[in-house]
Amino acid sequence: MTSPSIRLLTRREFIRTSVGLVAVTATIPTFLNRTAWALAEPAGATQGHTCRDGRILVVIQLAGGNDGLNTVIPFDQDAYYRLRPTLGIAKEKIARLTDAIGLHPNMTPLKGLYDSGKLAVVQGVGYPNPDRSHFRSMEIWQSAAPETFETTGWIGRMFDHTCANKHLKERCSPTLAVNIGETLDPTLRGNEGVGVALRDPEQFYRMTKLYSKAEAPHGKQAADGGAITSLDFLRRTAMNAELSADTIRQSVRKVQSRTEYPREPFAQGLKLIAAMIAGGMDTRVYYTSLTGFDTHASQQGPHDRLLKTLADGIAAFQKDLESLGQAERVIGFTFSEFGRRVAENGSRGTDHGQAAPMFVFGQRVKAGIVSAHPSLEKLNQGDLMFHTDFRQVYATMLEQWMSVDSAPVLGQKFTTLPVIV
Amino acid sequence: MAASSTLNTGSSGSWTWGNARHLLFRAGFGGRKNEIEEVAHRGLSPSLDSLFNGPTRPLFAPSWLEEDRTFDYRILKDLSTEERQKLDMINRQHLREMGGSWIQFMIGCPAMADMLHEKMSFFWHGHFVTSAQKVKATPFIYDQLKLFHDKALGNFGELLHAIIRDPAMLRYLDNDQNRKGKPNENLARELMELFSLGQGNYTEKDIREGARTLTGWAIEPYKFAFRPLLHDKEIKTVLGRTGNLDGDDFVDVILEQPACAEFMARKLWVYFGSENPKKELIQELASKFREAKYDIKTLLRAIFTHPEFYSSQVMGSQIKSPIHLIVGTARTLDLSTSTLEFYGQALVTMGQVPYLPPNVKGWPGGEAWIDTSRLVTRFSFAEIIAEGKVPSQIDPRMKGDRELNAGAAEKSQQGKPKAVPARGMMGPGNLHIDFDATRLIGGKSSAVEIYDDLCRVLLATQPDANEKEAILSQLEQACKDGLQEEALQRAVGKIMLLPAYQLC
Repeated sequence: MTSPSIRLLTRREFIRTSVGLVAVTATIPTFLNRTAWALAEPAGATQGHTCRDGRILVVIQLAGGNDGLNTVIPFDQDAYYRLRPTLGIAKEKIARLTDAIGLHPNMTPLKGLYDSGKLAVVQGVGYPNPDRSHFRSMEIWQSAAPETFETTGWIGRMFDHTCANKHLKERCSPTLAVNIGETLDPTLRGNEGVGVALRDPEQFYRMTKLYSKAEAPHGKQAADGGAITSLDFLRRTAMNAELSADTIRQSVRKVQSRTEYPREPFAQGLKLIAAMIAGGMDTRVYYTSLTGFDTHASQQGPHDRLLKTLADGIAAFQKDLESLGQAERVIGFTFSEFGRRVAENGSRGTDHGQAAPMFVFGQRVKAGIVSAHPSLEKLNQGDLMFHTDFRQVYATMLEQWMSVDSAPVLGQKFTTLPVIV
Repeated sequence: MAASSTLNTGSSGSWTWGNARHLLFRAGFGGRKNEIEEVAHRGLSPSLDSLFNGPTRPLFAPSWLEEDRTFDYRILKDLSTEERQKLDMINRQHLREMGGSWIQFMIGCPAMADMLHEKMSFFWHGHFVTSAQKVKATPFIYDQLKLFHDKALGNFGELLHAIIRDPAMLRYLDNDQNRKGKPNENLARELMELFSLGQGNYTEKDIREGARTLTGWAIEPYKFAFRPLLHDKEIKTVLGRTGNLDGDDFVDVILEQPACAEFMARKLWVYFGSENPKKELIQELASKFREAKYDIKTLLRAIFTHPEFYSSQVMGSQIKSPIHLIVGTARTLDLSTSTLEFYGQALVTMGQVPYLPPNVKGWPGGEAWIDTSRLVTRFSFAEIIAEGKVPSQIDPRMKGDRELNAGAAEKSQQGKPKAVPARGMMGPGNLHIDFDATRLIGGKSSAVEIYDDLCRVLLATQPDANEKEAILSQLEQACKDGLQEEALQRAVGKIMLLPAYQLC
């Protein structure tokens, strides 16, 4: 059991941190070793080959059901102005992408990305038999399973798949997926212990040190070779949390960003993601969200502000990645659990709808508009009809960006979309 | 170790302190030292008699319930957006309050019988899943909880018959839209798949025909209503039975299936015992359950007296659910907190909010409770209690309400956080957490004695050498300093910070 690698790990760990928790002895079970080893190497230097040019996906959730119709606006369709007498956005204010569609005026920064070849708009995205409940629909997008109830998310399943497959040589570590926020989004939930949620690296670091203060175990009781006990599992998770916190803190500390970000938490979250990327984390998927899109009444002001927050945040993030020399590695996309009803309601708001557009951004994005805007005349119960399944977007990201077979993750093959160069 | 005061149980050999503790932590939310001692002293059989001799209290009743009941949710769509938002806000407030009341009700269990009762009520809540997310109006939720409370340890057959008349369930699984010629299969499917038989024990045809038996089983505000005109009176065949069947016939034929007792025996074993039980064990329990005509107490007695229940694979191996962790901790330590919002926030961040199960399958237990973030949340929960500290200094996610940041660190003259009466989930005010660690150590004065005592009560698996050393040194320091309350609390906190504390 005293393989050189384990002794090396122990020594490195002792040098790198004074934390008792990671003072793993030679009797540490192999399952503990695997993650510990992956994390033990100093951030940056270590991932070297695989991760420095490893590709990264950033998932941005617009929670509450974004009004896609006032985000990507089909200003050439008369029905838009007819059905949106107060919420319709005047033609001359729209940031035009083509002769038929344009972006909300507050999204001019995204038009900038579009013009410089870094933004694709995928129109009419949804899924069959749409559910108008926030809860269920969100669950469907998170699990990528519209017909069943899954306890894992699609990103979680991706890592379950890559971590389990020896040939893929994915180094399974908890920081493969990082969630900006309070709890791990169900999208990232899997069975391999991947996924860390935090908003503030220093705070997270302090929190994980609570357990160390109680003095950590040395894994002596762990049943090596035998079944993993619940206690082993808890210790492994505690160690994962602590090592992740160390890694994240160290990575972020060494990055000096010169890009100005808006002050909102959303943009600050993206700034943190950029720092983690530049700091050499092994993370392959980052997840963050912007909430408040459930605009049933007096939509205009709040929705305008949200879109500004979104566009300004993404633009700053992209600029930062470019100046940090990381832009080649990163693609991001936005999604929302559903779009909103085409016709505005009596309260100058919009109710839950169906299809909506998604944005895909990044240096390696094939800029353009993917397929036509859904018709505003041919509706399904007052809602835009989807023509592109959201799992096609997921499949595209899995296959063409992450180089992962999408079928085991999504349960079947989906036609990919031309959004990546 | 002193843990070996064995008593003869008659049925399962030697009855130890560890067994007694195990019973209290599984059949209930845990036990205080004197409670464990009592069960250890009395033995299994008399303890089970007490366990099944409850509950001693009626379910809590919110003051606003009858007023909420006068509201006809069906007119919701005719209201203005502002009116709807206002109603929504009140409704959410009442739901939170009701969540807080339930937690408080669990924490306040006077006896082990009440604990088992609440644990079973919660089991049924997670089994016959209904989410307030969809059902919304509070009377639905309360009435269903009352059903679970009334029948928690009664007869499973009766419960299954009752659930297809339960307004919350009929609404949650869309049976209020299930009508002749336009059947909605949602309830029929889950009734078999999740509530009684499990996948593989029925066909898609059984679902289709079963749905027809339930046509017209609808609701009028907050009450079950059978609508004869919407009911399909044609011949149906479900699970081999043919006739002009209705919902009750459907349930009856389900109860005749051998798979039913097995499905429930397995689910209850997993809830109280361990995951992945052996097939023979489940068959043994199921046959007792069947013989007793689905008497729940008989099944539970069979579980709690089974040698397997006290085996090393089962004892100390279960990851506490957030409800178990929070209620158990609060009850064992006699915790007092100035606002129940603290527990509410802890439950949100740990992933188990009453009345809001993640989906129709309920909460997945075991390792699914734990990921890095949630485990860290559990650690900070322990730290907050041990330090009586402003949560935001430790974990901003648990700050509870807006006012917690300001002034919460104020200490009373004794240097201890001052406990003020709980003010409900919505109660504003600063968080003060307090427990009497001096009482907890029961007059002991040596570090080793205190250590033994605390660990035996709080942990199922004893600390390893390193963990022990850390806790002991904390206690030795506390002894040197004259056993100040704060130092003792911190020592308790150290134990609660061990991964083993997450297990029972």
